[in-house]
Amino acid sequence: MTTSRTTRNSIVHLWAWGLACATFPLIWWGGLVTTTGAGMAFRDWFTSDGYLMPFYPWLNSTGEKFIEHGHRLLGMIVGLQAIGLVGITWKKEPRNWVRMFSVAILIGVILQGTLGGMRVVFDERTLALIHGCTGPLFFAMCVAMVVFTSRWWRDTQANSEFQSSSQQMKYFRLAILTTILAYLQLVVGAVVRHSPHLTHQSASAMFQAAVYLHILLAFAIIVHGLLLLWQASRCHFPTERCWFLAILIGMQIVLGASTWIVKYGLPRWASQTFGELTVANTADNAFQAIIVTSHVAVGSLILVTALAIALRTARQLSFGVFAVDSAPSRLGAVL
Amino acid sequence: MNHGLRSSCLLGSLVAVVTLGCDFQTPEFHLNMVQMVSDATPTPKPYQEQIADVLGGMFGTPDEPFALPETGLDIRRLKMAAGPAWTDEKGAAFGLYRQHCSHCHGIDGDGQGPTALFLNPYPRDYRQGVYKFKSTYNPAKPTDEDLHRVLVNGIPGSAMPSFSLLASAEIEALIEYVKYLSMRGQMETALTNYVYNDLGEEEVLDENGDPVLNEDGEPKTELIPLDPENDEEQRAAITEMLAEIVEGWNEANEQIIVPTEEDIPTDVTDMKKFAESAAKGRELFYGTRANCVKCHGPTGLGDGQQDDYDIWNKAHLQFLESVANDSGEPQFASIREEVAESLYPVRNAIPRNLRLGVYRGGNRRIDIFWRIYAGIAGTPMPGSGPASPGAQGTLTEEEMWNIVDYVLSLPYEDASQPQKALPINVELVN
Repeated sequence: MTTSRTTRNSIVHLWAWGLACATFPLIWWGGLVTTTGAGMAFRDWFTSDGYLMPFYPWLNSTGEKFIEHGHRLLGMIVGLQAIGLVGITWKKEPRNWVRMFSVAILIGVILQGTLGGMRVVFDERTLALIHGCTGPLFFAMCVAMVVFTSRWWRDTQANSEFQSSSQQMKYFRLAILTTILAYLQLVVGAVVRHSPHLTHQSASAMFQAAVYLHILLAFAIIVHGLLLLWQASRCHFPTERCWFLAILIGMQIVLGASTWIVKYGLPRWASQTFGELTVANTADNAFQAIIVTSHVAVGSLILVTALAIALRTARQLSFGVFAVDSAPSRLGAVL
Repeated sequence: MNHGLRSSCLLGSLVAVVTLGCDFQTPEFHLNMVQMVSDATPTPKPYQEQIADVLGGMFGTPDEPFALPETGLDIRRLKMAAGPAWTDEKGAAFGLYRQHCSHCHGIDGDGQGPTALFLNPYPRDYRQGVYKFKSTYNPAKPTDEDLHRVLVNGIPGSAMPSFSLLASAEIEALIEYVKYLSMRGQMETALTNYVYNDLGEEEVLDENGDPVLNEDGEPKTELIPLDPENDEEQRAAITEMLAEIVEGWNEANEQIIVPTEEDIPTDVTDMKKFAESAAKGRELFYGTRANCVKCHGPTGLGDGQQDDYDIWNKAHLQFLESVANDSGEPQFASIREEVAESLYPVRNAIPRNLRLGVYRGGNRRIDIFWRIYAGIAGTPMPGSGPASPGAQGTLTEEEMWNIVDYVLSLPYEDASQPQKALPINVELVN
């Protein structure tokens, strides 16, 4: 019986992995859509230039249409996977709150797709901005599902020997705070990307505020990343994930600075200190697209890594939502 | 509160937040408020609205551009560049200006787009029709080829990227739209001056032609409306203004500086001749006639006079000083302060560091020759050649080519030899 349940659960877990692995490219492909300005390559949605999504001759298309339709196809695949996840979870997963969570994921992907569609139908940048903010949130849900359905999660529940000490609680709080900061940073980053293309007069103020906040949050995330690493060592928690997070944050700082330079050149203070760039950037070239899109992609990886650390810590501490019996309250707290 | 009601409230709030945040309004052109409330041409609100109406009639809106046949602008290209960004079924891109340019240059072409504050230098304000890097005499407009060159090459050392990956039709559409924004801006200036100089207040007369008096017994006055639709004289004046503006652009091709054949160094690979030419150029660089050293500094590092301004920053500086010294007429007091607060900090025109080998207007010999010959329009960089065809210049063409050679040799000259670079004077430089 135990073997049978384990097998069943590992199928759910594998499916959740598949969903998360498909969602990550969807996120960075979405970033590519914004980077290349391909969001309005089609003026229609749910169709693409009149074709139903799977029937559009995607491989014969080029440029913006190839990029935008690729994003739509990936979204469709993720949507189908989310439907499959609900089916498999309801069939194989005994925990009711996990089943409910799979439904939440399905609702999430439907809402996200609709938001993307409305951005096209209304040709509205603000909706693109919101779409960019909710994308990583959906990715975070997928990764949370991977954590919830893992064998480690079940085993820890059965054999929890961890006692919450004040230092461990600090570690948990740090992980939660890092996750929140990482998400806020993605929201602010979306404002930095989209607000220059808004046409109302407050766009300048929005962009300026977002740039300053983006830099401030970057410092806050660096500090929290380092603190998390330090606290993990103190609490004798595994540090591999924290090192991974720290490396991602380091990469992200380099990518962030590079993104600014390939888009806007050196800021005034930097050109006075380090000298000017000797060449002009080339708008929309592959190098620019890779740098800028990688910045978006690594940002979402930081979010889900911090979230995974936070969820695992919560589990190890038998803390909060995971100690509550009622499934709806667990689900509510997770959401 | 039951669950249904709570959910409805939550959903309602969410929709309200999204709707308020959304930008469903149609974008509009804005007036140059510095001009409207400056000491030179204070323009009452009713005139501002009338100027906006006239401009709207002549040039349309950012989404629906319009150009009178007299402008010579190609409306198809304008429609390709204007409006929101989208792609048609054949893959033709529209809304090119909104996608590639407006985030820096602003929807009005005022150089105050959302990103402008962080850029070095500030993006160009097209509204005066003054462009730095061109092949024409200093006061002349740039040719289409000049604008094309800047778009395709970008401006090294600045935020202006190269758009070499855009299709040539897209580049041409952008050139047309930039000219359109310039003509619109120039027309706005002309209308503002016209309203200030030729219209204004007039006495209100009764049926018998006698002045109507107000409560204080003074003759009652009213603004003469700017209404070219119903006023033949105004229409003729505006047509003339537009013709003058368009003429400036149409004449650009006749204003190209063409170097005299015999003065062009024919063999630049002859190092001996090049060295001789560069040595002569060096003497001129430090001499009083060319006096390049005044701004570019004794080492060519751009560390000479650094406290001057280009015309765009100077206009803002003068406005800010006038607001600080005097709030102006009561009707303009509050708006003047609002406009002053909305401006980005004024920056000095920092002379080029010629030792980097980075030339913003292009690194061909002819590009540098044009810079020396005509100067850089809108900046303190003066021209050493004639200001217009047939006029007298400070230097001969041969001497200007000598300076070109010296400038090109500067990145390879030992900077410590002549003199140590002077530090930037932080008290003077903004």
